[in-house]
Amino acid sequence: MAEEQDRKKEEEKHDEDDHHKLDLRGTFMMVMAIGGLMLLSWFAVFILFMERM
Amino acid sequence: MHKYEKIWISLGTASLAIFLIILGISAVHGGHTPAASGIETIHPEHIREDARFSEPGLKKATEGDYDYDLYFIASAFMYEPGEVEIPAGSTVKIHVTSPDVVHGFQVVGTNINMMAEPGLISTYEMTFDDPGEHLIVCNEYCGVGHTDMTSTLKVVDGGTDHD
Repeated sequence: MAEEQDRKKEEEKHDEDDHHKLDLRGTFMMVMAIGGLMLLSWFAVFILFMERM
Repeated sequence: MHKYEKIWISLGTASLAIFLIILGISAVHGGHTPAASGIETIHPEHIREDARFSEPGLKKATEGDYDYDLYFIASAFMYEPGEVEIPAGSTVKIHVTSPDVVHGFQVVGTNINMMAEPGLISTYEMTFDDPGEHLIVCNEYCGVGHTDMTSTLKVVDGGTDHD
């Protein structure tokens, strides 16, 4: 009985480590949004610098 | 690894690689040289004995492909000259030095942003096309009068036209 419980626990832990089963759509969208914002602000500052040359 | 994780990790790694490549190139090209490499030096206690800095201000250039030399002394807590007029359309090489501590030399609204260091002459070459007034401010904290340390650069009509 105790052995079976241990195995179940082990399986659950394994599931947590397995990222394939996670729904990462929201995380992905936020990562891309922040990346886009950084790229946009980089170009904004670069254009400002070139304008003032 | 999750498919999405692979995407954002590769994008992050790629941007890091691009950043390091740009940093490597700009370290040896395009004037991004360290302050001590090739910069002109001057004895900070004898600035005023130097013909160029004895009467700082705008002077017609005698060499180079620019129109004027503009000499500035940044000291605690003022700039000399306190106001300068530049004919619109002229290319000016600005030279700044300090007799005391490190000061800043930023011309608001332009890319000019230098340090004025005792013993070194900082230079920047720039063409002023549009008439107007620019504030010059110190952006290196230099003491109690730091906030009052300003000068004015006026770009006025009626200068040399070469566009």
